[in-house]
Amino acid sequence: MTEQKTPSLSGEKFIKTLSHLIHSVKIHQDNNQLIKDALTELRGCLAELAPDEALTLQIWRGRFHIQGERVVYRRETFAIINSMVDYFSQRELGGLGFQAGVAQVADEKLVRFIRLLGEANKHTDPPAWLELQMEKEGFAWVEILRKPDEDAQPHGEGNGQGLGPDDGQDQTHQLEKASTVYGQARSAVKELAEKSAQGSAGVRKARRLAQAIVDIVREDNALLLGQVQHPSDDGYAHAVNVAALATCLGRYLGLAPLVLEHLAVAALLHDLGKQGDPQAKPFKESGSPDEWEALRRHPLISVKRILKMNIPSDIRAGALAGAFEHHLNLDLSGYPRTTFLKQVSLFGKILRIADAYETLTNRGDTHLRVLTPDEALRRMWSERHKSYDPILLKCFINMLGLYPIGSIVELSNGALGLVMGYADETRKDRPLLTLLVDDGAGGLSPGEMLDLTGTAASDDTPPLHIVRSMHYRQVGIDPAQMFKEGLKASLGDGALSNAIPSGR
Amino acid sequence: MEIEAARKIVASLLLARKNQALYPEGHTIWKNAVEALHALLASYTKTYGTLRIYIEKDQLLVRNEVIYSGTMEEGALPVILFRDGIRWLAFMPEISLGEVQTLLDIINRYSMLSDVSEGDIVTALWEKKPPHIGYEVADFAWGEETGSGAGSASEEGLRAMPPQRQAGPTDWSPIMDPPIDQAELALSFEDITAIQAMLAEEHRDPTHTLEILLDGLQYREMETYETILAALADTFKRALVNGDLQTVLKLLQGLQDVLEAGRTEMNPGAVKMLEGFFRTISRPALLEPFGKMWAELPDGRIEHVKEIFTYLQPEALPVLAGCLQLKQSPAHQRMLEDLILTLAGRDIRPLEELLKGRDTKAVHALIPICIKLPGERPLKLLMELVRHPSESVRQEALKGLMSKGSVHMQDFYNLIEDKDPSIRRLILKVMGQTRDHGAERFLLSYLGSDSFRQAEEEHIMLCFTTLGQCGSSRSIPFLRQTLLGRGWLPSFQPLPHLKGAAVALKKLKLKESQEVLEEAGRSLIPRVRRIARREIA
Repeated sequence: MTEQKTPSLSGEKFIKTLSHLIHSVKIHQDNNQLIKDALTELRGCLAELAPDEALTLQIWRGRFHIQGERVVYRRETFAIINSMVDYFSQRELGGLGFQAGVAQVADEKLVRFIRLLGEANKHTDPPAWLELQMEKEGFAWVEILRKPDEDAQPHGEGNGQGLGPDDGQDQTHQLEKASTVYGQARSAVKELAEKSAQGSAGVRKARRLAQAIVDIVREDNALLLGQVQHPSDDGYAHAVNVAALATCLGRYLGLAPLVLEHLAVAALLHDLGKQGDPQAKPFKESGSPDEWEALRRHPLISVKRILKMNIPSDIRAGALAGAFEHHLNLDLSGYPRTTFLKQVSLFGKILRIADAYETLTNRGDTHLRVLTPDEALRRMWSERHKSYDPILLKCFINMLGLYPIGSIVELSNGALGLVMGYADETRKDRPLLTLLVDDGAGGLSPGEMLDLTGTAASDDTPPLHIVRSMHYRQVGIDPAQMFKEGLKASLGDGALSNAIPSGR
Repeated sequence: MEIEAARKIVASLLLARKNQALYPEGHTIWKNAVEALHALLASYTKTYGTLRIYIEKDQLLVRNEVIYSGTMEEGALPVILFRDGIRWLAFMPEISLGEVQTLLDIINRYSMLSDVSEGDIVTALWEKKPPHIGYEVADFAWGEETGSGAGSASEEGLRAMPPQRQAGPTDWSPIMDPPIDQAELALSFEDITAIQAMLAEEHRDPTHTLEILLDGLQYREMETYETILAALADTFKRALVNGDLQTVLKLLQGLQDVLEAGRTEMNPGAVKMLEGFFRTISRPALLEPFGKMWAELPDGRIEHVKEIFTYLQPEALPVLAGCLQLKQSPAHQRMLEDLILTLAGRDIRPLEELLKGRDTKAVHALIPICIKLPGERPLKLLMELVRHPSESVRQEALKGLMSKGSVHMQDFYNLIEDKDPSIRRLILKVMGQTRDHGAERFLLSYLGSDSFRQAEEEHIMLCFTTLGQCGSSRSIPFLRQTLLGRGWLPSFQPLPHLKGAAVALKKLKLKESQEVLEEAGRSLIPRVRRIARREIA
């Protein structure tokens, strides 16, 4: 079922203006015209958002809330909003409270406040330092809010996406939906590939699948990211995994739903040239020169098959780009050979990253064994300037964390854990885990949840940390299944369930 | 009551759908129907809350009660909703008129079953997301397209491959890549700007797909070639319709490069296919948009057109001929003529067809180009045009023949004795339009010939008149002799010749010719004197 809220963009405007003011103050003197303009605009926003009353700006689960309501923003301002989230996180700020009448505060005082805000991250406890400075300066019109307890609802009544008492049920429903979609996706891709190999395929089913993927990602990308650690030897599962990863990255970048749908379709179709032809020899990346040549041709065969499909032109453009470019490096090296192509498209760059990550973690490339998710990210990061768009790769790693959801890690106390997400998005090395415990039958089963950011050192025990990661083939578990079970278990426990992060 | 109200809503929905199909947007009947449906929905949802209509193949249900049933014919409401996998549609309180309109638009747009997946109701609803209209769609793996039953997902799904603990010699020792420094992961201001630029640029470059298609031609397998060329033809067509000349040009340049670069190493079949492509896209039917855009094409894009047509085949010539007939600046006119010349120079047949066609305006416009073309074939075409039904065409053709120079003059002058009097008249008219030594020489020779002596009076008079119009002082001795005879021997020429010579002398408008006329006016022979004096007067 669909629902749509009427977006109010005044919150977005306020954050944008605040960001602009922060940047201007960083560069210019107090009396600079740009600063004056930004202040005027900020006052206008304050008057619009909270005329004659106090205004609360809070971050909760990586999202801005104003007066307790989640800030709606357009995709083009995503990057600014995201940078502001980082700005607040770096200062360990939960938010800011402005008293009624803040719009009347003198320019120099507002600028002074922004300068203090800028300096705060140099201090060990930025919120405490800021509180002290506010007191010293006599700035009673602003209140420094510390990071909230994210188990609670944001300030105010709100309609954020937090898990209230009933949300556990919704989350379970979403998880089931994600699981169903994911489980059925492979057969859908297989059917599509076979039809396209025979030269007659439509894209309607792929669109439905893509729409379902986008809907899940928009709800909570963790639900899909938790499924992608799974063998994808036959290529169909690979396409589904790449679609999940690419759509999550697209969502992280702020692509609009319709573009996300096109991206997901492109991902589902990107390897059509490798699939669906029962007469074709299997592609082996470590094969003979002939097999290698055949492998290098698969993007072109994908292009041919996409061209033969009944497919709307706007979707076709993205699908062709994805199919043709997903083995091209930024400098257009890689394959296929290019003469006319001037640069790799955004879809191509995203699929390059998603495809490589999926291959490294689930299938292994020419020379290597399969890698654990964190190893794959390290490998890709070390090749960032040659093979991938470094900025998009940064986003990809930020999105997944250093230990992506579904990773299996060994802790300093010898316990094994499955990464479920990140409670604190600024600590990409300290994920939230489901501990894997002996099931009494020689296998492992999900146990308690453990938030590594919360494992502070005590007098006699050092804080727990990750010693190494392990591949699911090493351990012999299905991480996707374990993720599902772990999440279900956590949803039965309200307190822990709230720590499962929602994707952006 | 509730079920009855739901039935009324469906009836109103069907009526609104019908009216929307019958009447243009904004028509009163059309508007009233939509407003009536909205009013019913508003009233229902206010009284009973959300209306959820379940969809089956041939019927609609509310609370397990059938509220509509119909045949399973194409276009029937349950059929089209069911076909798209919609299980139920829900109308929520506070639904707006605009949302109702959106739904009707979507249903009507996608109600015809088509093999081409340009869209469907579900996708359209998913895209538009009307806030007070809900729906549930059957999972994508269900329905007719699957053909494998509900059990297939679990049998063939991802879970069919549970990971096994790796047995054997896999070396799980850690890889050597350095750890990722978290500080490096922070997005800088420049990174954010770059991301914004990437998002803004995405899909903005219409030629990106074109570049991919051109690069795809490196794979020289015939089926791929054929598929890509078909897509390129489609791209060409779309770009042309959209007036995107840059894409058209890029496509043609690219293909030409492929053809040139690969001519030696390419499969002959591929070369043939590429050459065939150029011929296909040069067909006038495909190039029709050029004719439409030409009149309003800004100067800056004219050069694009010029370049585009240099890549096209002579089959494209009729399009240029069409443009040539439009009112335009001399520079544009010249450019078109040059292009037609270039194309006709490669193959004159399309020009020939046009010149032989019934479009007099086009023929007229093309004669100057035909005149400029070298070789025998254009000359023959001009000769044929001399017998064109239109006098102006005949005249232009004759002028053209005249301007072809002395090599072909004989062909031209021979027309002076054509059995068709109108052609004879015309050629003389044309010859008389300018003073021309060649024409004068020919006429002097012709007027002295035996065949001329036997000609009709009208023709004789015309020939002399023409000599007077195109001739010079070189004609005076002949005319003097014709009128006055040689030395003391008076002229014994027939009367029409005497009259003609007098007329010619007058038309020469030279002092010497006037003197001859005056001398003839003093002649002892009365008929000569009379003729001369008539002309002097």
